[in-house]
Amino acid sequence: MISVEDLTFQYSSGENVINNLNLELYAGKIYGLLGKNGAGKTTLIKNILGLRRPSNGIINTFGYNSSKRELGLLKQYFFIPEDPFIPEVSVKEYIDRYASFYPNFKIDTFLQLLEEFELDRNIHLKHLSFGQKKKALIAFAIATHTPLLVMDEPTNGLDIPSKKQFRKIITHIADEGRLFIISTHQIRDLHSLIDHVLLIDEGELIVNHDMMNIADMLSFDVHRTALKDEDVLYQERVPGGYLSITKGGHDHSLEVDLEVFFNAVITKKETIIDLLNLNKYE
Amino acid sequence: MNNRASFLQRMIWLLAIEIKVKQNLYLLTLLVTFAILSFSFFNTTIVNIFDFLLNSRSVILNRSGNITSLSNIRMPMKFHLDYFPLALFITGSIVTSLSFKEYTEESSRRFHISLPATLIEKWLVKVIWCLFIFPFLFLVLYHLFALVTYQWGQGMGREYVRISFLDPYIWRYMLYHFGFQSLVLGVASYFRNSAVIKGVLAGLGAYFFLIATRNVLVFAFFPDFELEKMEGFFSKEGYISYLKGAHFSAGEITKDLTYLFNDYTFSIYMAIGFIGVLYVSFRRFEEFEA
Repeated sequence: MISVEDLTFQYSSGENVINNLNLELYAGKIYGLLGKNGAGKTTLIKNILGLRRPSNGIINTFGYNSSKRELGLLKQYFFIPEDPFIPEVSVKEYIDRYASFYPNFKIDTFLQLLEEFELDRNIHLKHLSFGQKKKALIAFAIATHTPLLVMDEPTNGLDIPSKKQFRKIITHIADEGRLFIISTHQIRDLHSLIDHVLLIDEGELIVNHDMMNIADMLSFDVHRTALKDEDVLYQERVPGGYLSITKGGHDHSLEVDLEVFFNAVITKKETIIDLLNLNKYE
Repeated sequence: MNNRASFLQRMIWLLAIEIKVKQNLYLLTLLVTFAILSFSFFNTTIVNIFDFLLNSRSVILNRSGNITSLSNIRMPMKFHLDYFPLALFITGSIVTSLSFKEYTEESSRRFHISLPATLIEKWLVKVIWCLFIFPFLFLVLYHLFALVTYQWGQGMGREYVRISFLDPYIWRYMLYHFGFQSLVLGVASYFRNSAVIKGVLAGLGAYFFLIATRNVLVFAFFPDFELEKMEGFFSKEGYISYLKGAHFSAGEITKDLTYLFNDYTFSIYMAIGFIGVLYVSFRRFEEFEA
């Protein structure tokens, strides 16, 4: 479990990136971390992993104070950043160098995942494209079997079949009780994976809800023409008509469209958040 | 895979990474060093100038002060002994200044910070490599270089003082090196960009600081020294030869005593440099963020 208490992060320039943020994350869930550019998503991740130290507040990740970067903490996670470090070595050399540090690393899992991603196990990493390097790193990350897997824009650079493969793999391993944090702008690539939404805006956590919870409270429907109904919380033009969000889920509602939901929260922040929070605490 | 990896195991893995990640840079540094040494060895002018600067005893002057001959033409030359501290210092400083290279670029820094090993293990492996393993590796390579060049030198009709693993002169410089490199390591942890230049400059600065401190100590013990004669390391007469000229003849200063001054100075330096700077280096390393 991860608990973030009163987290404030400030750059040395004095600019506040995160303000007094509180959060609890539980094992067995896939958290989707959403937010505009510069909202504080990556900073939150780095603070959770101990890569940055909070200006104020305490982060406890699997029983360890993140800012101390203890060995116990570092064994608990693998982080795939948007621009990962991938040395110019062969896949074998990469394994030889780094796999030993991860106590639960399984070579069989790694090789199987390489195969699923259609990557040659004998290849040199410098001969791979960015997307292929990322797939190799995702395979390594999963094979470490760390209880926490954090990914920042994991589908960037992946081709369409690889994105599908990625979703399939994550869905499969999500059952193992691991905790995933996926920060992304590519919501359509990953919306089917995410089961809890964290939305950060201007350094504040404004949405912290299960997808089921959101689906219960909001309906997503497509209409040929724009609705004038008072119950319409938000609507936007989509191919073939208008996608509207209205109060209260109903059986005929489409599944939650995270991209539209995100736009709704950003443009009508107070209305949507008040509604979500009201129902959350009822 | 390794459910209970020990401290020692992780240190070995980290050391392997330390060497593998920078092996090309290390090899290049060693190659350039030994290429320069070889060039200097075969260049009689450079050898003579260096021997002249460091071993003024071998210079014979006439009454008007002009050089009539260099006695080292007949005496065994000390090329290998003279070049050892310089080569060790320059090569060691380059290697040490590369210590935190993987923490320069953000993605690499992020990866290495999150690699499961303790902060002390990650830092200690750099200390062990730069202050212990590399100097010993260099010493072995230098001996091999010396062995080969003795043979070549003899073929050219030159005679050289043999270098030995047991020579106290060598171990004295190995010990000095230990102190200098602790400072370079401290600098490298602060200045990760252009670390080589800054590291070498810091090492040179430390060296001259050491010389200056030693001179202050000499003055404290022998206040009758004339200041204008303390011309420094690269003077024609040289610092050691001055001591010999002024006080050796009177039996006040022996060669061992001059070494003792160096050792006193070095002890002070070690207390400040080794313990202090290494501590600062670790604290700085602890502060790295990504």
